[in-house]
Amino acid sequence: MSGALSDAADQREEEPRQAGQLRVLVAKLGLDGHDRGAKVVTRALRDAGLEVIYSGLRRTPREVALIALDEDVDVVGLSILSGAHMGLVSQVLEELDQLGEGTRMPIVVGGTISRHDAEQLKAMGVADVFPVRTPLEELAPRVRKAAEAR
Amino acid sequence: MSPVTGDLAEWRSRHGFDAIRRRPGLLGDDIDPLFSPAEIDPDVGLPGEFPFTRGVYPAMYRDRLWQMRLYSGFGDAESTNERWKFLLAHGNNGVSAAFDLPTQCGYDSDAEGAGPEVGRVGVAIDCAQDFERLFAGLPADKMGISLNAHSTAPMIMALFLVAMERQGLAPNQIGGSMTTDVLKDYVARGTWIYPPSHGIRLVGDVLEYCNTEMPKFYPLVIRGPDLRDAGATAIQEVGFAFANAMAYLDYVTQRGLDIDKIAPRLSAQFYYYGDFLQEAAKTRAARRFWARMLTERFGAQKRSSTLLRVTASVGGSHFQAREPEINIIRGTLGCLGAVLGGVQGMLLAGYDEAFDIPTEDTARIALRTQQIVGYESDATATADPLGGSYFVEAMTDEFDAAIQGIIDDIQAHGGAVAAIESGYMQREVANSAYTQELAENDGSKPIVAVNVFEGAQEDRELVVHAPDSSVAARQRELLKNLRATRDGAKTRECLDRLTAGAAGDVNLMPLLIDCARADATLGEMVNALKAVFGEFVEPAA
Repeated sequence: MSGALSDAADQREEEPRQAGQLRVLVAKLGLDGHDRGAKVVTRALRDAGLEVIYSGLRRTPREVALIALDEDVDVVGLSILSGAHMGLVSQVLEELDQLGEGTRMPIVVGGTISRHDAEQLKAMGVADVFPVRTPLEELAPRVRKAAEAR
Repeated sequence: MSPVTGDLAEWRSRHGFDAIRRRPGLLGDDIDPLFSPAEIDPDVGLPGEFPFTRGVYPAMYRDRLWQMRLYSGFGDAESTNERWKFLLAHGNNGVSAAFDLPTQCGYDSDAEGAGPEVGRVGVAIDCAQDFERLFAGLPADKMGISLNAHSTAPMIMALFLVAMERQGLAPNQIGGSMTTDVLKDYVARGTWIYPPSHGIRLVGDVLEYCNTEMPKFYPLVIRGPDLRDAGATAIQEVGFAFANAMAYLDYVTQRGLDIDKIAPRLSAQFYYYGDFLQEAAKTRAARRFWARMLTERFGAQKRSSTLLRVTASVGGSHFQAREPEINIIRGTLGCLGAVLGGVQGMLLAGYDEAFDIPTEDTARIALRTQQIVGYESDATATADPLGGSYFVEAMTDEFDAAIQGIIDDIQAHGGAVAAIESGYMQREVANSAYTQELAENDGSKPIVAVNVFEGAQEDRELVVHAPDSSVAARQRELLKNLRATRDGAKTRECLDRLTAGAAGDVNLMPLLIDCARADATLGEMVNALKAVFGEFVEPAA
C-alpha cells in the first residue's frame, strides 16, 4: 500500500542545506488521511528555520525509515490521528533499528495521543510527544532538543 | 431622536464604534457591531418556495423534525450491530455507518499493513457476509441507512445490496443515503484510490444505477464537513463542495443523464460550529445558491431539482480535547445553528470525539442534545425564525456572494478536477488551516479552556472506547474461510469481467454486484479496477 518513494524528494523545498540547519522528516503512516496537522507542523517548522521534508500520505513504517535514512534527517516526526499510534510507532522504531544498524535517529510523535499512551511511547524510545494543541512556538525548540539527544 | 431615522454614521461615531475591538466572522472580515434595515433586501421569499432561502418546506419543523442520527461504527459487524440497536432503542431515526480506514481505502482486513487499522475508526467490511451480520435483526427496509462510503462507495453499495438481496430485500425497497462524494477525498481525509477522472466516472455509475433501481435512495451527498475539518473556511466549505458538485453534474449531463432525474436525489452536508447565527446564514445562502445554480447552469425544470436538503455535522474540529465535557455546550450551539439554518438531518458527535469514537454514554448525550433543541426549545416553533434579522439576512447575502467568488476561482483554475490534480484546492485549504492555527495559537480566535480562561486545570483522562484488537484476527479468519469455500473460478470470472468493463464505458455497478454475489471481497473489486484506472499520486504539498 505505497506510492513511489521518490515522491518525498519532490515534496521538499529545493534549497541548499545550510550549516547547522536541522533537517526533519514529517511523515504520515498507514491509511490515516488527516494531514491537516502534518501540514501545519511542516509549515510552522519551516517558518522557524528548519528544513522539512513532508512524506505525503500512506507511508509504510519501512518507507518512512528508508526516506529518513536516504535524506539523512536529524529527526523523524510522525503524525498519527487514527489511534493506531502504538503499533505503528513500534514498527518504525524496529525498521530504523534494522536499517540504521543501531544508530537510531530520534523520533517525535504528534496526534491524538492520550497522556497514558504518551508515557508508553516515551518508554518505547520516542524522544517527545506532541498531543493536539501543543503550542506552535514549542515545536521547533522541542524538535531541536530531540535532535541533540541523538 | 431615533438612531434609525437619524444619521447612523454620526450615531456610530458618537458611541465609539470606530474603536471597538475587531471580531472577525466566518467571512473573514470584521463583523459590524450594528446591522440595520438599510443593509438588507426585505424580500427573502417564503419557505418551501424557490430559491428556498427560508427553508425547503412551508411549515418546516412544525411538519416534522430533522432526522437525528449518530455516525457510528467500530470493530466488527457484531459490535456495530449491537451499538445500532442501542441507538435505535433510544430514538435514533436511522443508522449512519462509519467504516474503518482499510474499508475506505479499498483494502481487505488481511491486506499487508492493514492490521492495526482494522475496526479502529469504523466497522470493518470485507465482503457481503459482513453486511449481512451488520444488519442482522434490523428492519433495513423500514429505517434510514446512511453509508459513509466515498472512494469505495460503488463496491460498498454492491456488497450492501447483495446482503439485502440475501435477506429478501430488493434495491427499490431501500431508503437512505450514501456519501459517494469522491472529489473531496483528494482534498481532505485522503482516502483516495484512483485518479479523480476515474473517481468521477464511478460517481456517475452510482448515480445512473440508483436513478433506475433505487428510487428511495439518495446516492450522493455533497460534503463540506471533511473540507472544514481539514482547515477550509466556512466559505470554502460550501464553495469547494459546490464546485465538486458542479463537476459531477457537468459529467453526468455530458453522459446524457437528465438533470431533473439526478438532481432531486442529491443532498448536501455542512459543519456547524459555534458562530451559530452565521452558520445559519451560510445554510440559507447555500440553498439559494444551489437553486440558482441548478436553474441557470444546468437548466433544471423541476422544483425538486433546485431544492437542496442539508444534513448537519456537529463536532469535528470544533470540539476540543481539553475539558471534553464542555463540548456538550459547543454541540448545543452547533445544533442550534443547524436548526436555525433549517437542516433536514443531523449527525452530532459525542463530546469525546476528540479522543475516540463515542461510548454508549456520550452517544446518548449527543442524541439528547438534538432532542432537547427539537422538542423543548422554540427554535422549531416557526419556520426560519431568523428570517428578517438584519444581521442574518445581510450575512446570507454576503455568503451567497462569497460562494460565487470561490466557484469563479475554481472555474478559473479549470474546474474542480483540474484544481485538484494541480493541488490548488489542497493548497488553499492548507493555507486556511495555517491561518486558523495561528489565530487559535495567539488567542485572537478565543477557545474557552484552550486559549482563554485556561485555569489551573489538569488534563483529565477520559474513559474512552476500548478498541477490540481481536477484530483483525477475526476478519482474517472470516476471509480465509470465504476464499476457501466460495466458487473461486466464478469469482475470478466476475472480477475479470469487471476489469474488462472498466476498460470500456459500461456502467460498472451491475458488474460490481455480480462480483459481490460471487463473494468477491472489497479489496479484490478495488484491485480489479486499479488494473485499468491506476492510482492517484498526490501533487506536491
